[in-house]
Amino acid sequence: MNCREALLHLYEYLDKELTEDTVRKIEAHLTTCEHCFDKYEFEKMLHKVIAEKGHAEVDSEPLKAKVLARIAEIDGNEQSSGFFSRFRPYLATAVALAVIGLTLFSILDLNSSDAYASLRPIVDNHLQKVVSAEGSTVKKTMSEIEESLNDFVTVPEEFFRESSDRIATRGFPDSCSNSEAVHLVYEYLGSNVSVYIIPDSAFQPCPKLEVMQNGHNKYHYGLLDGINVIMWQCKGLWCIAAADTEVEDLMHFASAY
Amino acid sequence: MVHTDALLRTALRMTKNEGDSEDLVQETLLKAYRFFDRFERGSNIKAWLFKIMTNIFINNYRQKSRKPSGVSYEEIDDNFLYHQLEGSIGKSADPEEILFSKLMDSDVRKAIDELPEDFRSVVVLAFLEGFSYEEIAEITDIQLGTVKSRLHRARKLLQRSLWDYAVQRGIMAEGSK
Repeated sequence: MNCREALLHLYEYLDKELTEDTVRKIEAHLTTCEHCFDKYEFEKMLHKVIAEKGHAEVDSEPLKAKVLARIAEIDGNEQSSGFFSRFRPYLATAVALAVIGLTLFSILDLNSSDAYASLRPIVDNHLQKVVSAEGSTVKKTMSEIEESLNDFVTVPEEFFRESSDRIATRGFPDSCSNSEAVHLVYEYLGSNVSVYIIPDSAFQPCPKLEVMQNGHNKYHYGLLDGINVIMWQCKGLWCIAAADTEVEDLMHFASAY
Repeated sequence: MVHTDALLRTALRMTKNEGDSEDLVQETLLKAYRFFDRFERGSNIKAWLFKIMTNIFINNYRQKSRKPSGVSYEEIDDNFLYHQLEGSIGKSADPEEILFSKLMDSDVRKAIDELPEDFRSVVVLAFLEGFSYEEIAEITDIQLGTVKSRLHRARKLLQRSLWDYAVQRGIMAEGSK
């Protein structure tokens, strides 16, 4: 090994990313070359200094106690109704929103911004309650969603029309049918999951989707236009979850919902 | 709750703020607790925890504007500090010894804190937590090659900052440039 090669590997050597064989060759070179030896020694020392001085002393004990208390609190709340119950409040909210939405929308002009404005505080209030009760799984409040979409969006017809297996991944709400739905965005394992709740028992899932029975629920799932979706019926409502994530993750999300 | 110290000190370098770092770690631990059934037994729990934390950090804490750092590092040589010290040789017997002993913890932390964010996280994970390139790629969701190049550039920037502090504080006389 010559000097050029030895110096080329310097940082990988320090980071312990080289094979034993290369390390041996480098060390052999260092015993014969003072120039490279000096550089290596210097960089080794620098590495050590940065590693030692870079971190502040921290005391995580108070934080651990805080987290444990929070966990005990969560467990206490969940004990009566089981592990998956943590998602139940969201469903309750979603149902509540759908009901509020339907009621108000039937009274007020659907497209009027006044109608929307009067609805929003109620919706926001609901979501914030859930957020404060359950940590921060609801990623966006309605007021944030509002900026990009109508809160009560119409559902892309591609979700269920036999003629198409596309999901409108872009251009909401351009390619939509006329069903109203509640659109919620959750953060689940680092991905955003869009959930549409459709208060429509006549809804039929796209037949191209696979079907899986799990407990009392029947899940329709699959890939539509590059996005994994899963849809299921719950208390007369249809829930559709779509996310740029593995279908197994969506299953998990759905079964916990 | 193993690794909480490691998470907290890393969070501190990532957020540069004690309050935020505690919030970030709390959120990380709660999330890990909730999704612990998804952790693959036998795989690397430290890396798993750091990945959760990095995701939360990227989603919630990182400044939204991803403007380019504006830092130029191309003109910094490899082994920059070493060469600077060579330039100042003769003024003292053992400049390395002096530099390393006089550099304060706060100098090193400041140099890390001033790195552009993308570089900072790889530096913290590599230097301070000793993760391998592969683990860092997994934790930060970036390519292995990108980890290497960021680390390389970050080293140059760190060396230049440390040299500047040393000169500012009079530890080192500005040698031939």
